[in-house]
Amino acid sequence: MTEQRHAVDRASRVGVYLLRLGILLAVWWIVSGSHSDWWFGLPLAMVAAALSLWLAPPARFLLRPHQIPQFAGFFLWQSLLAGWDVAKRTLNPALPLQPEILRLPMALPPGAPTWWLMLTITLLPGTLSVRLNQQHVLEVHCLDARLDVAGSVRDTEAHLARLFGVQLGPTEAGPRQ
Amino acid sequence: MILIELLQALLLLAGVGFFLVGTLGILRFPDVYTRVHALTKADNLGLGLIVFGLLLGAGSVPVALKLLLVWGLALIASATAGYLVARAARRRGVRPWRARNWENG
Repeated sequence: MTEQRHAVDRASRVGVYLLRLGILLAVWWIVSGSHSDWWFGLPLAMVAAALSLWLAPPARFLLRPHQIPQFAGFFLWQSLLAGWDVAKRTLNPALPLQPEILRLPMALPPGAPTWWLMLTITLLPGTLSVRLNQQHVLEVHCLDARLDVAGSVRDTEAHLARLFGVQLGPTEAGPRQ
Repeated sequence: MILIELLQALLLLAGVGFFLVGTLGILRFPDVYTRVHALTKADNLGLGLIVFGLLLGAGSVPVALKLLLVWGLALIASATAGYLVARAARRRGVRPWRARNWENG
C-alpha cells in the first residue's frame, strides 16, 4: 500500500477543516442544550478542529453518506444478536464456551476502514479484536470456534467496503472453510 | 400515552437486565478475553436499550441527539477499551482459556 496521505492538497485541507468544525459545532449545540454559550463554544470548536487536523491528518477515506443507514441497520441488528448471545451463554449453567484465537488476513485497506472493522467486530457476536500485526493479519478471539467466525468477519468487511466505497483486496485464501 | 410508557418501562428494564448479565459474565467467564466479550457486548446492548427507552420520552430534538451521542461515544469507548485490554493481555502472553471437552458439542 503506498502512502498517499501527504498528497492531500491545501484546498481539501480547508474543506476537511470546515467539515470537522461543523461537526464539532453540532456536538457543542447538542451538549450545551438550548442555552448554548457560543462565545465559549465557537473558539473551542475552532481550536479542537485545528488540533484534530494535526493529530489525525485527513485521510483518503471518506464515508459515503447514502450507505450509512444500511450499515447502521446491520450494526444495530448484529449488536442485538451479540448481546443476546452473550446473555444466553452467561445464564446457561453449563457455560457453553469454546474460545479460540484465529488469524484472519485483512482484505480492507489499512487505515480508517481497518480500524472500523476492528472496533465493529468487537461489538459483534462472539468476536473480539486482539492484535493487528505488520502483515495486516488480525488476531480475533472468538467465544465459540464452532461458529463461522471467519465468515461473519468477511461479511462485516464487505459492509465496510461498501460504506467507504473501497475495493476488498485479496486475502491469500483466508482460513475460511 | 400509557402504551408508550409501558414500552419505555420494558426497554429500560431490559437494558438494566443486560447490564446485570454483563456483570454476571465478568464473574462467570474463565479468562480476561472472554470477560471482555461479556462486558462489551452486553453493556452495549444494555445501554442501547436504555437510550432507546429514554428517546421515547425525550421532549426535544437536542435531548434526543444528546442521548444518541452518549450511546455513540460509549460504543467507541467500550470497543476501544476492549481491544486495548485484549491486546495488553496478548502482549503479556496471557494464554486464552480452552474448553476441556473440545469435541463435545
